[in-house]
Formats: sequence, C-alpha cells, structure tokens
Amino acid sequence: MKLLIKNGRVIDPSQDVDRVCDLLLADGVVAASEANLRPPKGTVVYDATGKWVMPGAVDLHVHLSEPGRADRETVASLSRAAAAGGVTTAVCRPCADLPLDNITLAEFLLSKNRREGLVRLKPVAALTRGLGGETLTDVGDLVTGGAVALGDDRAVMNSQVMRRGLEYARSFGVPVISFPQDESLAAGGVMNEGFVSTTLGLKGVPWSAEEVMVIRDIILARMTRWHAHISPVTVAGSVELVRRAKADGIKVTCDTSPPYFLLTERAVGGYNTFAKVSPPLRGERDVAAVKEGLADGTIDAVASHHEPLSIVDKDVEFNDAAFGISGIESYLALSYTSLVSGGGMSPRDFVRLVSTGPARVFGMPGGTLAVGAPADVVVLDVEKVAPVNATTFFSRGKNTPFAAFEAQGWPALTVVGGGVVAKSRRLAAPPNPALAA
Amino acid sequence: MALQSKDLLGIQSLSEGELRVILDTAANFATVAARPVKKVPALRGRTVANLFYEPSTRTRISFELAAKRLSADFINITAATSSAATGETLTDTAKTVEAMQVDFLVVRHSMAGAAHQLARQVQCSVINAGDGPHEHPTQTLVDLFTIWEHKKRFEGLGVAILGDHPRSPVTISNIYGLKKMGAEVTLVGPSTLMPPGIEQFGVRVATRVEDGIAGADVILLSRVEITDANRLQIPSLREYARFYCLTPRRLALAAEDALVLHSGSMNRGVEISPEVADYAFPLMVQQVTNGIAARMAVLYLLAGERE
Repeated sequence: MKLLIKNGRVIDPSQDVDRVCDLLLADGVVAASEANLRPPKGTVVYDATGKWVMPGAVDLHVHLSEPGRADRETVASLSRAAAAGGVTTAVCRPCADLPLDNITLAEFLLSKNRREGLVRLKPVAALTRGLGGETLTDVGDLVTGGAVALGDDRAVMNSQVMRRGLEYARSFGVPVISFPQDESLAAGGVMNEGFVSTTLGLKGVPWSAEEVMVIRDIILARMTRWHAHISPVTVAGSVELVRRAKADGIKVTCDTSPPYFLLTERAVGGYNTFAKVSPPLRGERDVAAVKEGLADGTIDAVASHHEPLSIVDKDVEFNDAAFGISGIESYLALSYTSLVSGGGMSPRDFVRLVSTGPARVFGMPGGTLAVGAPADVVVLDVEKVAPVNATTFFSRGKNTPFAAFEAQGWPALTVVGGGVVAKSRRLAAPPNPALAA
Repeated sequence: MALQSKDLLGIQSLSEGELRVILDTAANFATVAARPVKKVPALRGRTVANLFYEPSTRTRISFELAAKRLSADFINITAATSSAATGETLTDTAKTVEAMQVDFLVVRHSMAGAAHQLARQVQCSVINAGDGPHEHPTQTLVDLFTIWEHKKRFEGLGVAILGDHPRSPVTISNIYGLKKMGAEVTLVGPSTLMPPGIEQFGVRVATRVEDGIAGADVILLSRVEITDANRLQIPSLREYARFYCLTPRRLALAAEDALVLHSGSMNRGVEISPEVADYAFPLMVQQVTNGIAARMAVLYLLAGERE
C-alpha cells in the first residue's frame, strides 16, 4: 500500500527538517519527502494542509494488565488507545499484574500484539525477579526476546542490586530504568509532602525521596559507565541533578509526563483520587523546573505514564485508592497545549520530546522520517481544540484528572508500518500486518 | 445567620462569623442542659445517624445525646474500618443510609477526606466527626466554646498546643479555629512532630516546651502514645515525658490563670503529669458537658439552614 501525505508541515528533528512538503510512504517505509510529489498509481492521498506531519509518538511508559486484570487494560484496548492517541510505539513497563520477569510473559505480550495490536509494542523487562529487588532476572533471555530496557518500575532499594544490574545490562546493551523514589522516605505517602498535604490530612512523599534515588543512580551510572534512564523526574532538584550529570558526561537520560508539567499537588484538593499518582503531583516550583528541563534538553522524552485503572480502584477513600492516571490517549494533545501553545516551544523540540528523543533513549527504530525508515507517522491537527473526554477513551482506564480540560493539537491520522491505524477516531481492525515482521 | 454549607466538614471552610454563631448557639443550649428537663423539640421528626468507621466512644455518645436532647430520632451504624474492608464503597453506603431518609449523617473515619467524599454523594447534611489526622471540627468547637466561657475573648490570646500533631485528630482544626478567632497559636513538640509546611498556617513553632508555654493563656493537650506510625518521631514515651510533659513546674511558666484543656483520654505521666491532670480535671469534665451543647448547636444550625 502506498500513502501520500500531501502538503503538511513535515517536522523531523532527526534530519533537522521543518518545511511544508509531501511525504510518500510505500512498502512500510518512508519512500520520499519532497514538495509536489507525484503519487504513483494506486496511491491513497491524504491532505494534511495546515497540519503537522511528524514521526509517530514513541511512548516510553505504559502499563497494561493482561493477563490478570483485563478489566484495567488489555493488549487490544491499549493498542487501540495508542493508535487514537498518536502513539506508534508503546513501551510496556512491568507492574504487579504483569511483572515481565521471564521470557514467557514477554513472548505472550508480543504474540498477543501481533494478533490483536495496531501499534508497535515493546516490553521493558523486569530487572529483578518478581519485582522483588533482590535477584536479577535472566536479562540476556529477555533482551534476546525483545526487551528494550530493564526496570522494575519501582525503586530497587538495594544499591548493590542496582549496581550489578547496570553492569550486567551493559553486556547486553540495554539501559536500566531507575524509578526514583526511596521507599523508606516515601512510605505511606499518598501525595506530595508539604503545606497542601497537611491541610488535607494526607501523608506526603517528600521531594527528597526522589532526589536521593536520582543522585544514587547517577553515581552508579558513573561507576558502571552504563546508561541509567530516570523515569519519571518530577521535582526541581532532580532536573538539576540530571542536568549536571549530563554536563559531566555521565550516561544518564530521563523522562517525565504531562501531569508533572500541567498539574500541581493542588489537583488533589477535594480528595480527587484521579489525581493520585506515583510519584505524586508536585508544587509550582517543580512544575516550572520540569518545563525548563524539557525546553533545554535536560529531559529527553515526554511519556504518557499510562496507568489504566478500573473505577473500582479509584472509588474508595483517598488513602486506599490505587495510584495512576490513564494518559495515552490525551498526552500528545496535553503536551502540545502546555509546551507549544502555552510555552512557545519550537515544533522541532516538541517532536524531539515525544518521538525522536524517546526512540533514541531506548535505541529503538522510529522517531524519524528519513527515507527508508519505518513508516510510523502521525498527522497532528494543531488547530483542533477539544476537551479531554474520558467517556470516549478506547482505553479501559477512564481515570484522568484532565476531564473537560480543553486541549489543543489532536492526532488526525496515525500510521504504523505504512498502514493507517487511526483516522480521526476511526480505527483499523487488527491485526496490523506491519507487526508480523 | 445560617451556615453557608449543608455540611460541617471542617473548620477550614467556616468564617469567623459562622464560628461566632455556633458558639452563641452552643451557649444557649448549655443553659438547657442545666435544666431538670434537658430536652427541646427543635429537631422533632428529624433523623440523625452516626456512621462510625472507627470507634470513638466519647464523640459517638456526645452526638447521640445532642441529637436526643433536640428530640431527633437517632441511630448508630457501626461500619467496618473502610470501604475496602467491606467491599461496599463510601458512595454506596451513603446512598443506602440516605434512602432511609436520614437528615444528618455523622461520619467518623480513620482516613482523611472520607466525610468529604461522602458529602458529595448525598443530599443530607454530613458532619465530620473526625477524619483521621485531617479535621475534627466539633472537637474544636468544644475547645473554642470552653475557652470562650472562661476567657470571654480570643483576640491576642496565647494558645500553646502540645501533642502528637501529625496524628492528632484536632491539631489542624484547632489551628484554623483559633487563628480565625484572632488567637496566637504556638505548636509545641520535637521537630519530628511538626506537620510539613506548618509555618504557612501562621503559627509559631517551639521545640522547647518552656519556650512554647511561656506566658500562654491556654494550653491544649492531646493524647500521646507510641505506635508503628510514630516510632521514628518519638523515641520513647519516657523521653517525651521528660521533655514535653506538662508538669506543675512548666505550667507555672504559663499565665497565672492559664486554662489546661485535653481533647481526649489522658495518658497521665506522658503528656500531662498526674498533679496537673488533677488540677485540670474539672475543666476537662466541663469540656465533655460542653461537647453536647456544641454538637446540639451544629445540628440545630444545619437543620435551620435546610428549612
């Protein structure tokens, strides 16, 4: 199948491109990118006038709960949500429901996605067995089986385990993800620690719980000379620590997600369990620092931090509610709204953060529209303003604190491997042949 | 003047004017309690339900008596510790109780925000009878009422608060109430017991008890005990008592006519020495009596608002 995306504003930081031209996709790859391309016979033409044409979003942080808690999210529902949200590659992190600590689980995920998925799905394998933080998983097995990074998505409290994990991962060429939250400092905390938590009578997680782990893992990255990816950074001090580590030449990268630059701890007011997330929403100073880190390149990627939950997990006392925000369907628009509409960020920097940057961080294909690259493309309708509407989410998780938030810049077309998987909100039916390879 | 809200969820949302109305009303009901016949017909035909997710004998009985002295029908519902423990959500419980045409739901819960979450779901008035370390508004009203009875002023009154502040059900409510009425509040205790961001409440912090209670007109105490939750904040009860127990010698540093109030059951020899406890006991008993009047005032005013 051939697809010609005509007359869009093609933005590709990997080639330092930002110009109005046509983009031809053929045989699953980018075939040409020039002005006034003549469509070969049988080419489907999509008019992207006034819209952005960019490499599809690469989302470094999603969760799903199949098998186990399919009411939260399945491979199929996640994939549909991703397609609608402009995500062409979703990186699935381990969680209690799906620990991804052995090859069977990783293979299950990938084979399920080949049959039921629309977008590319890449597993992050657990660093330790059962996410217990004590013994390493069979890392080589998991990397050979398709894992793009290692990490438990919770803090590895034992520093020796983290050190050996980084060293071992180095032999297999994959980064180790650090979830920066010291569990003892954060114990029992359900929101950011400070004046607001005290007014609400809720136990807080201090900023220091994050910075302690960020600095430890920067030190271990320096020691092991290997790549630690800190995910997510949410406090001002973490951004500064990563900035300095990068300046010192230490192999460290990091990401964050829209709740951490669009919301503050005040969103928890009234005991809104949809604003309960881990790490917690922080203060205004932190939000400003995260935005600065996004603008100056300290932060490498914006991820959705998609944690889909059932209403049963949220409609309880605040202390008992599960942590997490369903983000994959709205994070691109929310990021555009905050960073480009609200923050004056250049289109190239925006695409770097949502696509090129994250692809590079985990060494994955994607994030580029170079000729010959996989045809993973998103057309972003940058003029479209619409409220976030959880009731229409394809994701099973309707848990968003952004309900009714007017966001700008919604995906109009999502293409994975040359095949259209979402056009506005109309989705293709799986399987997507491009995923069979 | 009626109350602004259908509910009483905390002191934070009350204005100084509302607080004064409640205290004036409580004063009227206190005179009722002194009569041989202690009952008035104000809430005849209304139903008050206590929904307690954790035990609190004093508060439960105080609300029960307050309701009965206003001639309301009254029921006690003892729930499990949380909605997770029962599997029934707060919303479902609230709707069920409301379907029984209850006019007032008095909610006690160990978790902050439970009463707020309930109040959003029901038409009836919700009264927060303590939501963990968050607010316990009626206890603050009792303290304010007792202080008013004795001091007849709040403006410029020096109040020292001692206790396990992060776990005390009443510290935050008392700070709101006292500050709104114009008192000067000092929170006393080791730094580990100071709630995060406490300076932003406009209170003074004293880590030395002598500094904290010097010249105080009122000393508010709450129970101190050691649990898993505060083991790293109080090394031992003996040590706490040595440095923070209200002893006669320390009490002598306060104003000559200083009031000593205690908001719950005392731990003699820990936060209060036996001598000071005996000295202050008559006032604490009076607090219990005042508690009924204050809660009658709250029920009465919330009912009036809904006429």
